Amino acid sequence: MIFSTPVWLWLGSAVLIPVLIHLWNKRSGKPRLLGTFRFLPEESFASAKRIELHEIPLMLIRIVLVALVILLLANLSWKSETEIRELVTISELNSEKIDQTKNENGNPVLEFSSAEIDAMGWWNLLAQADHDYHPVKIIVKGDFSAKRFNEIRPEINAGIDWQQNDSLVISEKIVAAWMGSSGESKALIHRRTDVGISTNIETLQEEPEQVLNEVKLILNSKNPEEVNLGLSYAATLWDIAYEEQQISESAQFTVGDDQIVTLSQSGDESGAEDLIGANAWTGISFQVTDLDTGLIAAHSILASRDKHTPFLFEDEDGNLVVNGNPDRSLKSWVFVGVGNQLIRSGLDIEASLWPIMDEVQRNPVFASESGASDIPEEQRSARLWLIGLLAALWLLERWLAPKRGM
Amino acid sequence: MKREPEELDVLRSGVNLGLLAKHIVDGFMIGMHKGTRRGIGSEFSQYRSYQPGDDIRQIDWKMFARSDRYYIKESETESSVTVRFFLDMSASMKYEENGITRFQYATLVTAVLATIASQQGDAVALHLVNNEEHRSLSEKRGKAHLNRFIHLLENVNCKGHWPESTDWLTDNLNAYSRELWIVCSDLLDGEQRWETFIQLSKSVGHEIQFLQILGYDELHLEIEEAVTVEDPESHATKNIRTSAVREKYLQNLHAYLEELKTGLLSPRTNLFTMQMNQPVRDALFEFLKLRERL
Repeated sequence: MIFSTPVWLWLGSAVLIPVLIHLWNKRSGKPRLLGTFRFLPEESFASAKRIELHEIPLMLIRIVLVALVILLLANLSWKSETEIRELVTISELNSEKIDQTKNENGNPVLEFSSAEIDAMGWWNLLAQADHDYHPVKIIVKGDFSAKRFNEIRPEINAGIDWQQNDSLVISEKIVAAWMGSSGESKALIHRRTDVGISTNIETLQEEPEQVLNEVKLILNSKNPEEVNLGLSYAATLWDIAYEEQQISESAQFTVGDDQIVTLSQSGDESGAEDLIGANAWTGISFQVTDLDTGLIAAHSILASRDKHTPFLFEDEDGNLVVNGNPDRSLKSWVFVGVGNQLIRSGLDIEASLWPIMDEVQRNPVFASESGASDIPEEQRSARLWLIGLLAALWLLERWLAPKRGM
Repeated sequence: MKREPEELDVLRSGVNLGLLAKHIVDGFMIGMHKGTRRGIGSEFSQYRSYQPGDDIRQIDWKMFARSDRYYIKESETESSVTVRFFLDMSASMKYEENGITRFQYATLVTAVLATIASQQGDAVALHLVNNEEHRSLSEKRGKAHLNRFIHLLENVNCKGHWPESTDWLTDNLNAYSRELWIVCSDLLDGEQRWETFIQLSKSVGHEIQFLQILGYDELHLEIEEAVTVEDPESHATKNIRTSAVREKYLQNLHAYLEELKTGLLSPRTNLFTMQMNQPVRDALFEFLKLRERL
């Protein structure tokens, strides 16, 4: 029960009015002289100081009448019939036989096939469950690969507990491991978090089972400053060793014994296209487009011209895109992106495995902790019921009162 | 149905009781009994022969002239009746209905009857009685006496109850003259309280007319449902639900009234009940018509 204008509830004490009226009725009034007094039956005697039993129904009716008026003023309403569930579980199943109305201790368990989840995305499913059941918490079981988080995170009031579906994806996955610049083991790790998948480069505490690649970047010291700055910055991000040498290529990227990436220097110092020439095998696709200031954040932004216009980003296919010709200050960022791509391709990390998240996803808000009371509940006013009841009781009271003489 | 008696309105407004009584009496000049003054209205009955000892003034001399014999002309016994009113002054007469008390109603009834009696030349006497007090006015004829009679009816404070003994009455008893006693009361004090009075009245052989004045509400108990009622005499109070007690109450009341009627049953005792919602004029008209038949 919800009271839209609970201030009227202060009038609740008014329910005492009928009691007082009944008591007053008993005490007030000049006694009426009756010459035939002695013919009154003895059992008609009643103490004036207490309410007689047979007055109580009338008194109760009047109390209820007053209470109804107060409830009417306080605008009593009921919540919609949707119950608040403590817990809703959304589960990914590969089985064809899916029972969508499963229950676990009274809490609904929603099951979806992998294909459905791929099609709808986790956020849509979560938003739907949140709307339907108003749960305090949603448990999500399944595969949390990045492609299932393509949409912008919707407003979800429930808290979300991401539980790895063991059969599909492990909670922590070492995507690639290599020898860091100072000799320790470095790894790119996918890890499930509350908002999806986080990807971090971390130092491994234990020796990984797989053989570590020794990764190294050799920069040509003749390269323009911004080229070497960008590439070295990328190497620092990945924590790989780099050094500058007088080499024929612009840069050499070696993984283990394989020198798999070379950049040829065409002589033109200004354009990245020239740096990553047609002859060079880089394993990455690189594209400079005309400046589009209306461009809104694309897939994964590596650098921005200002807060709103992305400058360097990857498109959905993992291609590196430069939005407009870079000026000198931004040119080094182009080579951060180039270095980044080169290192990933050298470590054989698929571009699509890089789950760069939206702003909303980066800053999850859990309404179940902060603003659950703001949920606009679907309310049904009890006004009609109250008025109907009031009318019926009033008629009853009017019928009964003369009989009781009150 | 309750009816608002129009003269009671007048009574309530405090008009002179004597005037109101006269006004009502003018409405019906029907004698309660034959004229009482000697020579007036005397009717011839028979002639009989003179016998020694007869008053010679009674000899019809014209008859003697015709027949040369002494005849006595006899007419109906010319009676002189004293109407003695007993007005209950007990607290139960304070019972009020439609704004007038039982006592007010009773005074009007008494005043009207006294006026009628006085106009017919009867002597009227008045006794206002309760257990604490006895005000009386001895029997006399005449207008001046009637005025005193009516004056005595005013400014009366009703209290107490009807006296159990009849000592107050014995001094006023006159067994040698013919009297009509009219008792105005509610007769609710209980039969035993009236017993001695009734016995006394029977013993003296006077005719007694009881005028019982009861309220409509007393007879029907159609008052508000939840009410505190007070016994005017004992001042005891009760909170009653009328609907709950009505049946038993009416049963008790009617049993008592029936008992009372039986108790009063005698050739020279009558009981006439008046309801306070009935105009005095109508009630008395009905009463006098009934008496005519007796």
